[in-house]
Amino acid sequence: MAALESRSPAGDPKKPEWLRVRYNAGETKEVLELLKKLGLHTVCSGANCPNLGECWARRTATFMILGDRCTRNCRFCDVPHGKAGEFLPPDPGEPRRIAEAARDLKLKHAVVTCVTRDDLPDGGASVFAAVIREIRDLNPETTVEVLVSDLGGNEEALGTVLAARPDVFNHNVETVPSLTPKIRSGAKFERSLAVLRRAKETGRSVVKTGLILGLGEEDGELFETFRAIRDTGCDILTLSQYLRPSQDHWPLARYVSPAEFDRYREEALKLGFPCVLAAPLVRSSYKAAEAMEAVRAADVHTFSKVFKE
Amino acid sequence: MKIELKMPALRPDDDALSVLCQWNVKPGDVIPAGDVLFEVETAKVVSQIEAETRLRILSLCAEEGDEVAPGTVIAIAETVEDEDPAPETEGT
Repeated sequence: MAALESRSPAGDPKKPEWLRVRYNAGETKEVLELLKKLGLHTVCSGANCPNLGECWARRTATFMILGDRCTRNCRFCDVPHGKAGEFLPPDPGEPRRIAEAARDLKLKHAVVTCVTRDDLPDGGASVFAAVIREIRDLNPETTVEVLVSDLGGNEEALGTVLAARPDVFNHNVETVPSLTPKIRSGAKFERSLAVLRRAKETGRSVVKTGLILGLGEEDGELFETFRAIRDTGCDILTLSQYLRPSQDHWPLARYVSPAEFDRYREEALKLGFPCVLAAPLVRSSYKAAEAMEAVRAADVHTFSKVFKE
Repeated sequence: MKIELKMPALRPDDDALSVLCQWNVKPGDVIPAGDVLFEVETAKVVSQIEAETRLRILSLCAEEGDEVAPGTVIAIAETVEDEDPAPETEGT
């Protein structure tokens, strides 16, 4: 066996003490076997999430629909990028199998994301809607959170997802405006804000987004980004550490300390976000059910009204 | 029962190499399920690998700094029944 000093991509700073996670292979087996049996993908595995061991041991996972290859190639993302011809048509049985997985895992809150599928006319929006329907059909008490792409700016497709009334609608802005064209493939900062604004205007879902820190953003622009996001009416903001997947990915600018994450959370809360989750290992679906409940508790009137419709 | 302790896959079908950066046990130690056996550094984080069952460590087959792939045998151990007398060890 070759001896190496570090697995950190070359040039990256040494990993700080707080980037440690526990992993017990035995405790992940049940979820692994269920996913294999049902032929489902997860972003936990697809994006090599560091929280996989913790989440799967708690019998929860974030489903990833529409395949395991993405049509985009964002510089920060670990999900494999596919080439033309590698993409399969949507699997008509996938929504039901996700509902079955939610049932078997006894999920109270199911989180569903996707690979971006710019090759599909609606970006996969109809599949998202089907997944929401199937989960509710089989699990009437389960709440559903979707994390969608910008759907290429397709308003009709976005409307399809929103009409299915996910309990939480998430679309990640990912980074500040100046870094967006360098890091996000095929995305626009303003378009992402428009997605959040439209989601909020429907009034039926808690609206959520996330930013990755450590990509090279400066505080001033970051705080302006917080404000721009909050101005859309977005309810939940997640702030995460960029964990560079490989040397082929965008260089890591810095590791943000837990104390700095606390400071950023305080800055965001000052802008009126009902819920901000900020820590190095926070990911989009981290404590997703708790975040949704926090927002609903903070806005009882609005959500009570929606539930009566 | 004697068993080979292997580097686990940290996700399904994982074949990525990790660096064994720290042993938390030594030959002769008896550790309960859930205690950390060793730490590996991946591209993103340091993963602390827990024992799946109560074990007595017999020998180590990899050294700190070694690059290990999922499935690599990194230690030999034997399972220990809960009622077996065992020397006290501190949690790691």
